[in-house]
Amino acid sequence: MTTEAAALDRIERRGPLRGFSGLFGVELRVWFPWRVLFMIVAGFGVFALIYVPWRGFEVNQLGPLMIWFLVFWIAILLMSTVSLTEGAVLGEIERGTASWLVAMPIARPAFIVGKFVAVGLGLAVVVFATGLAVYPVLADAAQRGIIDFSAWEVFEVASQPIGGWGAYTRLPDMGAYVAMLLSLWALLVFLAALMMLFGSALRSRTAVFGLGLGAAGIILASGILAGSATAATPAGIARAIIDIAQGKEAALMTPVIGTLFATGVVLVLAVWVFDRRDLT
Amino acid sequence: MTVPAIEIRQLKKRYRKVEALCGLDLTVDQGSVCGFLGPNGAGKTTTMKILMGLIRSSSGWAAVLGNDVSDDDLPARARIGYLPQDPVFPPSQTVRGVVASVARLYPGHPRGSELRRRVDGLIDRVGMIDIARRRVRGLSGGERQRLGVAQALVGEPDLVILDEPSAGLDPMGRRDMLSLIEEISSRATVFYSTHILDDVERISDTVVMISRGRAVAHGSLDDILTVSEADYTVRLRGDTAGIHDRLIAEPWVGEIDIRRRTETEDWRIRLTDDSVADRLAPLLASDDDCDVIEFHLSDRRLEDAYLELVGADDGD
Repeated sequence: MTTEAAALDRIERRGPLRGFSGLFGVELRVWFPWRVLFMIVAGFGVFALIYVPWRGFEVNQLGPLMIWFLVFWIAILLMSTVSLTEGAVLGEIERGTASWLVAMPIARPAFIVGKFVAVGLGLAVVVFATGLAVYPVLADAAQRGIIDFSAWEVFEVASQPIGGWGAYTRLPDMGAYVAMLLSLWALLVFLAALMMLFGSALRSRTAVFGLGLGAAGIILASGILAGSATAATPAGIARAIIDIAQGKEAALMTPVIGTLFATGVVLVLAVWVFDRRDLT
Repeated sequence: MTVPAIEIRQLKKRYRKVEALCGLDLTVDQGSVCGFLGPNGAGKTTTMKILMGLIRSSSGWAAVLGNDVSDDDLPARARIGYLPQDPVFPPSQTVRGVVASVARLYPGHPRGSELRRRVDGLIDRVGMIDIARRRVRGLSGGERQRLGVAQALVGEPDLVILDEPSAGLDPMGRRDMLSLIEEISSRATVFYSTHILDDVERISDTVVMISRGRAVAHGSLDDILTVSEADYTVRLRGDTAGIHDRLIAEPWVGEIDIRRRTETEDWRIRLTDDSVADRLAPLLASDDDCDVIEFHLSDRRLEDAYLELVGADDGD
């Protein structure tokens, strides 16, 4: 078999993901480093905004701090995911880069899956880099109380812990905290898959963006409001994270498995729709 | 017997209420340089996109290098290079980066220094080696077009499909693009669309004219430029009124176009029947009031053929 024939035979055997690695590499460069850095900085910004106003409270404020931080952080992550993925498919179709790529010897499913995996990797870095960087600050607050400091005495605060803890809210241990971050990542990845589906099916980026924001809002709101009814859905993850932040027991397994399954279904649908779409 | 590079039979494509292609038939032989002509909206880009698997036909059949395009045969697509109309590349990538990225998407691509050699060789071939490190956002329209050709050639294709490669280029850019196409044609079949008929006359050996979604002419450039035995150009000097009256009285003379010059007149005479063409010269020579300075079959340029064939189809 000649080299060329062997190469052609190799792309035959790679099935529906032929060209995946090349496309994944291209998409990775879209996400790293700037988009990921932007999302990490946004997360730190939210944490600072929540943490600093709490400085005046003396005791037992870790629970509210964590809850507000997580609610706002999840909201920021969901919105960032929507805004950074709304053009991932439809934007490329509109600009013509999708036609350019799909005209090459790559399988159409690889176009969607390559993007999805790169987005998933970027979101994983964002969630874990931000979440793990914040944990020591939370742990410090759990031990010493929320630091009270004046904005003018910012350099003194580290050495001046105040307040005792009484019946303070327990900080999740590292294992539970990491599991919480993992489930948050699963939630974002589900939303990213949903955005791929919207981008493959619709013809207006405004519609993709609007539907994405709507889906994110519904997930967050139903997680907060609907309680156990959403246990096996992506909204169940939001609910479980808030429970954990409050020091309650929460089962993450059911919502995470449900969300990963839903992500798979949505991704397969996105691939199916994109495979049948005319790239005019 | 080699399979045609492109074979299309009764290809139809409908976009909601618009019928972009309505039963297109064409064949492009391997090794040829085929110009694909037609007015805006005739269906050229739609045809090319169907060949590249970017859009699906409503009905009919198309094959590239013997492979049915509806099979989404990726090994076959690895043998095709494609330059889309208005090519778009990631703006932050460099010229070298774009070509290298595309090269990595092809099966069995070289790696390391071998890849670099191939990429730089291609960039040099399209005359961009001096700006290989420039980002796409800093390229002119002509440079983007040349980069598009470089990426189309990166897989060393057997067939190159170019959608309006000369569009938007200045005269020098156009000249360079034509030279490049001529160079590509020495090792691959070239199927390209254009509105510039002079370019087609210069580099093509085959022409397909399309109008309203179907082919109105298809064949070698020589065949299309050859006029029938019933179309003559004559240059006369003297008083031509008499011979004009005698000619139009003949039932086998169709129409006479007259262009008056300072001392002479150029007549283009179309006969209704080419079997009586041998009567024309004696008739002209028999008139004593004027001299026949020139008499020959009319030359036809591609523009004449295009206007005649496509214009007729448009009802012009």
